[in-house]
Amino acid sequence: MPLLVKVRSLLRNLFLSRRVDAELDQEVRSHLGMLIEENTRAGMSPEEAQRAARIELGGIEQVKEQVRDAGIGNWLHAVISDCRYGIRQLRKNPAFTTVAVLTLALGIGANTAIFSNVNALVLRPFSLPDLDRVVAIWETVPKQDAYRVSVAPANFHDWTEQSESFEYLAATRGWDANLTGEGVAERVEGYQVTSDFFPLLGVPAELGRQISSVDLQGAATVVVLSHGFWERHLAGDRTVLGKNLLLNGRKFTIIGVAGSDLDFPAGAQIWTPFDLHSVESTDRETHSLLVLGRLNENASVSSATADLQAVAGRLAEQFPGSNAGHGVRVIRLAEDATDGTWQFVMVLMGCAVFVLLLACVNVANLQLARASSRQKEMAIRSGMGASRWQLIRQLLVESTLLALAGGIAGALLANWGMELLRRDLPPFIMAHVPGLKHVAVDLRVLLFTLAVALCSGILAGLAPAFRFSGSDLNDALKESTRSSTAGRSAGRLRGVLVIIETALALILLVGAGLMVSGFRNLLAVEMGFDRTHVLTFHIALPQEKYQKKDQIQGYYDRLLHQLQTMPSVDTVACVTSLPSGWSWNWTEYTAEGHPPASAGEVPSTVSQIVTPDFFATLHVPLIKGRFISLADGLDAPPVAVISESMAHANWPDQDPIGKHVKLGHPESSEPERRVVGVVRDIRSSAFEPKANPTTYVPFAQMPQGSSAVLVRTSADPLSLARSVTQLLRSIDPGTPAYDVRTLEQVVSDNVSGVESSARMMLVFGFIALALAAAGIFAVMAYSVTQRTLEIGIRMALGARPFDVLRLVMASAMKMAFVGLTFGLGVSLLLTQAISNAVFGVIRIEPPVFASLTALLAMVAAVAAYIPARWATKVNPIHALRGD
Amino acid sequence: MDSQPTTLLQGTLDMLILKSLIAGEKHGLGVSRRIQQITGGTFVVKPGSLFPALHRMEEEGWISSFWGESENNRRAKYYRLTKAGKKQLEAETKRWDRISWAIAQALEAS
Repeated sequence: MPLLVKVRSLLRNLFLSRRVDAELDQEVRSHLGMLIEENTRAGMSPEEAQRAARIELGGIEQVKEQVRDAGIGNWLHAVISDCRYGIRQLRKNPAFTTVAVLTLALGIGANTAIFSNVNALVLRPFSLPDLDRVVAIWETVPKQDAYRVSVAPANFHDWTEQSESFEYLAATRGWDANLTGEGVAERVEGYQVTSDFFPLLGVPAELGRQISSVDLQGAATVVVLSHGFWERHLAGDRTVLGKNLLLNGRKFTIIGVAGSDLDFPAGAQIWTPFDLHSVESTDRETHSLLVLGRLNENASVSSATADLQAVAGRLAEQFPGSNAGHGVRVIRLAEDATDGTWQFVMVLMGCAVFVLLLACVNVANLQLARASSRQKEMAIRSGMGASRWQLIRQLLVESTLLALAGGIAGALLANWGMELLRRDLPPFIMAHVPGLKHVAVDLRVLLFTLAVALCSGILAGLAPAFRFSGSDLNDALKESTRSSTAGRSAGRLRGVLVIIETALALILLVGAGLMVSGFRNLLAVEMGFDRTHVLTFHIALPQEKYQKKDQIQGYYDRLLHQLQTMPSVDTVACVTSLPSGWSWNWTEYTAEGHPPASAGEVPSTVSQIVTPDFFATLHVPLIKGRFISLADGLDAPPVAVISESMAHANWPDQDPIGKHVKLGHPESSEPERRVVGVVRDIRSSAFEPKANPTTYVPFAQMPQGSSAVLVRTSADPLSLARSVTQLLRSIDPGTPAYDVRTLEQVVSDNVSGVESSARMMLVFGFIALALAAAGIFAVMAYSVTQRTLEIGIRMALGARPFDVLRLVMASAMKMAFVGLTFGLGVSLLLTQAISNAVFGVIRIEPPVFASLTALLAMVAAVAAYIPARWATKVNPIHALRGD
Repeated sequence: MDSQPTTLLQGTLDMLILKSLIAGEKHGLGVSRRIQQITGGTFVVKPGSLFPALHRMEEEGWISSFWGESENNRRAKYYRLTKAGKKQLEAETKRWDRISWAIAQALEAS
């Protein structure tokens, strides 16, 4: 019942506020009337009666104000009227309002922009229902420090049979295909999936049906299209079901189009059925599967891990040759897919929070400055019966209004800024970083923005609010605007704000500086090869057409020969994986002179299958022995060239030339290869602290259907792209060149995540610098006008302009110095703390710290110098005479 | 008003107002005078405390109000106790008994 009464009263106060007010007025007046009557009856004269009654009542307006303050309905009403009053106040002072709103817009906008990335990239990288229960499952080989090993088919099969934690378990593996037929041939990114794959993800099809167990009987040639592929290639044609797609020269029937939310694995364009049971149900050595699970209701990640770990233990005993030392790792898909992204995004989020704090401090400062001109207004309100709390509330409401306006502007700013940021992202990154496509200002981001705006409103309003309401308002009424002692405590508060501001600005500047320098370092890393003037592309020969080794060799011979004869081409070569590309082909090996390793401890090397000119094309120097030559053919003795680190790992004190190495599993039928040369190390990625041990095998001895091609040219490499694509079409229209980029582009794409982080941080750094400069300037300018009288006296007593300059500058630089020291300490600690999390991209670099501290000190000096100059122009006569 | 008015303890004002209304409906001044009377002039409730309390208690549902005529035909707002108010008074009284007993004990202890 009381609740009902409360609601009724709330509504009454909200919608009948005028009537409620009138009734209150009448009530108090009638009370006064009765008091007077009472006094008259007691024998007072009418005047005396009136006077005594008024004294007892204590003022009609005050009583009413107190009543309004008491109720909850009244409270809301009061806030609304505070808002109305606040808006009037803000409109009266447009310059202040504009500056404050813009400042807050920068701070809030930075948070909105970064949070929309956090939202899409970290919180919801895939739009799958119940994403929290979807897990990725990897094999692990702890002894080799390998915790993300793809799963072997037979192991997956046994997991499915023996585990009890999953509603669904599904496996998928890459199945990129050449799409031919109408139009230009093209490479499409495809995945083979088991029958539980689509039910596991749980996104309904847009059209038709998705792959189910029916399609796995004898691996039907059917295909499901991704929403994006369907729109791009088939113009969203709703009659595509039943039509055929020519993939790798075979006809596949389109049975469905996936929902637009389904983007897994990131970048997938088509899905085809994957019949595991018939082909590979005994294979425990080909680790090729990406395994997904959907936990059932009563399973957790840890219980599922224990469950699978038990299965893995049994398998290790049963099949020691392949499974000994292999464990299982279960990890939430969202977590698994965002590793390497979230670290940077969270660093940016942290910086955005700092930018916001800085903006809040600036606005607090502005409000403090405005405070002095409003002291009389506050005093009058107080005299009219406003309590201290009401004055604070009024100021907080105004500050919150500013922040809400800033929030709206910030959301717009963020929207625009993100477009700017995304424009330069390489398409490969766009497609393959989960969630990147969905980065947008959506409802959740807007709610976040609102929350941030409210918080910053309160934050920016706190200092001025307490400072105001604390001062003796009666004094304020009497005080003139000019006083030598006024605002002593306000001055101190402002000083503290300047210190905080300088510290925050330095932290942000240093962060930006380190990130930019980290990015430059990554680009400058000595990769071990010459990345200039090289065009790269990929080819994949369809297996159906190129089954025999000599067919493959024939194709590549023709291709390399024709490329070689193109004008301006120096050398041409094939290689399995591009240096600084995305994936590496690791394989186990056995080296001569080393006893066969026990299961689970077999060492691994990157295996690169290359044509003879590979080293010449990338300018990789020979250290010992010889390069691969044309003579190392299919019938010649098997040979290999190894990298420095590979040589060092196996034969540290011996001559590696002439030693033998066998690639693949120790029991495989691969031949022993004689080492004929040692070459300089190549870095696989700028992020890797050292080069991977690598073994180069002659292409002719191990022809591969799919390969990367490198073309060194004396001209601009991209100018060749067109003629290369045409050339490939003329050799075989069914094998398109795909992923055509310059090698420089390949290297910089690899670090593009760091690049966009660095760019964002740079923006933050500039904002920080500008805000700090503005803040210091404003405070010093204000303090100079406050101290006019003091300065006037000093000058009258003989101070020279230089003394005044020194006086003002000294007080500014003292604050700046404290702020810089504080900021330096915090940024050192922060850098140390996050250095590991961001793969060492950010590390303590003394020159960056020193130069940015100097820069900020200089900016502070300039910002203080201008008002200090004004101070020297003070005319003592005018200052002493008064306003 | 011969004795020096004493400051009211937090929470006791509500109890006194409820108590003063137990005999029947009253307007604000009536409540004030009744409290003065039953406390022997110890407590004088000023309008600045009385009216906020009355309005708050009405929102709590302990009292209800209506407009009526005073003894001298002046329009005045009257307050009366509700069921919830009676319950509240009982609870407050119990609480007060407990507190005053405890304080008395404390003061007697040596």
